[in-house]
Amino acid sequence: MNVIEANNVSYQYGRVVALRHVDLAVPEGALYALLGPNGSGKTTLLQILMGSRRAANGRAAILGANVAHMSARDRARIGYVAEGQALPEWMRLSQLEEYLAPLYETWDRSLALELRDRFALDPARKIRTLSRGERMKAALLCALAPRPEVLIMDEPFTGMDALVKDDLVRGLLASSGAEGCTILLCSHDIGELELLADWIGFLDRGTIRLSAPMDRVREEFTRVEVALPADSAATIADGLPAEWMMVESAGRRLSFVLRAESRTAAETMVRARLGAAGQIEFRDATLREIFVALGSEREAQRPTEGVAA
Amino acid sequence: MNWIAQVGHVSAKDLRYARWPLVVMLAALAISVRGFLARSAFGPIVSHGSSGTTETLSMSELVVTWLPIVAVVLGVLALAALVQADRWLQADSFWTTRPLAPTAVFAAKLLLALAVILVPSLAAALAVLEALHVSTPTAWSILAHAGIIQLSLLLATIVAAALTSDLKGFVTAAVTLLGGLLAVFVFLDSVFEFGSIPSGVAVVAPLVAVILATVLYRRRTNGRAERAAGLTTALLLLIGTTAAPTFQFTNVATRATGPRLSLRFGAPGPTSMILPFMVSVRDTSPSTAFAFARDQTEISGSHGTQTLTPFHDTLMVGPQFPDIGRPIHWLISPLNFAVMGQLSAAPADARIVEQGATSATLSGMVTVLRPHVLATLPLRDGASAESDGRFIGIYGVSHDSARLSVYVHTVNPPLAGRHMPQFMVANFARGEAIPLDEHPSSSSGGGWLVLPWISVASSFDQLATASRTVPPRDDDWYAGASLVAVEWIPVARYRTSATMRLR
Repeated sequence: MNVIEANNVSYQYGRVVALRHVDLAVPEGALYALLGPNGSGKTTLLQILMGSRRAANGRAAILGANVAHMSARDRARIGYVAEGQALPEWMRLSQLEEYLAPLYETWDRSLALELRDRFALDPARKIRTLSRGERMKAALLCALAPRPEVLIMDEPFTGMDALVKDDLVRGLLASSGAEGCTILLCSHDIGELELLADWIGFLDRGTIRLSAPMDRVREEFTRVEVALPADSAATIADGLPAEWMMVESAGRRLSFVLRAESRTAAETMVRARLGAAGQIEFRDATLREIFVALGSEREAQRPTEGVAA
Repeated sequence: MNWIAQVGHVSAKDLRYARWPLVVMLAALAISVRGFLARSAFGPIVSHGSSGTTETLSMSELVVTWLPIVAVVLGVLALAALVQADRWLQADSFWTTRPLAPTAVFAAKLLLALAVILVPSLAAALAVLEALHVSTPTAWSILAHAGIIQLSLLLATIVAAALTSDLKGFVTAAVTLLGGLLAVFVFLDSVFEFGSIPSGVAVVAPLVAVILATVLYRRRTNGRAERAAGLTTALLLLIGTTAAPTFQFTNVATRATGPRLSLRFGAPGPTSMILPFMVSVRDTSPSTAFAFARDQTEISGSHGTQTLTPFHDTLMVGPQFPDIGRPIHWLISPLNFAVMGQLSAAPADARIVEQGATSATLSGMVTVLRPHVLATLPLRDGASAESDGRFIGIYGVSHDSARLSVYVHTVNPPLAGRHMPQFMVANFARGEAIPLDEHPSSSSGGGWLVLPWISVASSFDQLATASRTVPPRDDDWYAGASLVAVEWIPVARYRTSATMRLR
């Protein structure tokens, strides 16, 4: 069952198209990482899912509720954190908690206290005095304390130090795993997403170009290392097809990312192209490599079909 | 949390957020009310300096000008801040992603605007009106008028604040809107020769604003259409404040007929553009006066009949000395006077008058008035009374063999349809009285009563006996005398017309 669904969602700022017929499906319990370059429409999509923006067309739903007409009860099941979200600056953190707690039947005061300790937040401090990272922690506390069924996060790691980030990642994994919370997040922190995500989506120029489980994506994107018999890597690299991405060459070694249905198919493709190739090694592409590869696909202006989710 | 609980929850948060400006606003209202109740607002203002004590014949600027402005500005800024704390047109607004019904958030803002800003302001004004013994129907009519203006202003604030992101932006928008309001009036006046805005605008605009705000809070979109609708509504609300209806809860019976009005033509002559005429009413009661309010004039002659440009004036016709409820001998010989009016022809109509006009027919409304003793004060410096909505005080008395002068201070809230009182000095023990006339050295001023939408007029008048009167020389007469204020109260109306021959 898909907890978050967007069908044919479009949005534009004036004449600038931000989202173009976007389809998105996030299954229950998934930890879905939405990737995309700056300006690709990630934040707009999340704001539409939260009902903060109204899609020009299409329909989006969370937990079966149309996001354009979500009731307060529906919203109580969803946590939302966004970088730059306007918080009530004049409140102390304790006042913010006191204000929010009655709005949620599921607000867990002990969890709020635990998160406050974990994030080293002083409840007596006013929100406006918090640093960027502390503000994000405060926002996270407010989003997590109600124990939401769905958590939507836009750049949640902004301003956080490595220790807290690590702690947060563990917390999110626990929420996703033990409590079955469905999480949709977008972040530039690909390293953290690699640890977290079990689903991945790639949004580019307002279009979803990829949406699939992480293990399938890893199968599909392979980093290929070829040891050539002669010192000809640079020459060969120049003639490789555009689908062979992130090409690196040094002496006899040629490396690239290949998108293929399976590793066997990838090997067949490489052998067919580089018949004289010597030793060929395959390893899973990292999320960063996949991200860059997809980005380079975009640069090459070569539309690719995403793996169906 | 149900809808009502959400409204209360958001309201409580907002109240805490804006508590300081609201406290200062309420303090301004309280000081203003205290100034009126303690009469220090009325003046005269006494100041002590090195050169001695100075008395300024005016009301307290602090109470009748600055405090009303402070109360309104703080109320507006506090409300703007409250709205901007939970804006509806901001995609990253905090509340939009929380379990709050959009209409509950809007209702919370509206509730605070009404409960913490509008109602206390009107209650403060009511306290002052009560202290001035303004009749209940009149007080409510004043409050209804002021309430519509204040409500329109607060709704315009909600709309303008929601369209802007901070107080600086709000102030800029407010100034722009006020400029727009001015431009609208200039445009309407210059292009359409517009007279006045229909009062229906003042009633419709708040309804439109509430509907629009509800829709926008629900939709939470910030497109150009929404912004244009918001700005138009805010402008409409501000326009509405200039056209707030004046309610009349006191009904004066309208009769089909009444005593006939007589007009008589006076000098200088029918070829003049200004025709003086005398008005009299055939009535036998000595305690009845008539106010003739002309609204239409027709001139007839060889050219036919022409209706002149409407001109409104009111002429009082009645006994020279009002009936003050007990037998009085007036220490002044009555004048055989006639009430004069002027039939002024506008330049465009002047030729009609000049070219053989033979008669003029004046139509209008006659109001029948009965004298009512408003207050009776001992004739001494410092005596004062509040009665039927007016403050009347004596700030000086002097008399010699030629003249009796009484310095009278009156303060009047906006009492629609009421006439200024007449004054006289009476010694009831001796059964004698002398009417007082207003001396040219009077000083008058205006201000506001708690809110800038309730005007209050103040007048410091030197009232003196007429030159043909010989005031009593006996000091005991003055020791036992009283200042009597008489107001002519409307009791009936009827429409009438009368024709006078010009040649």
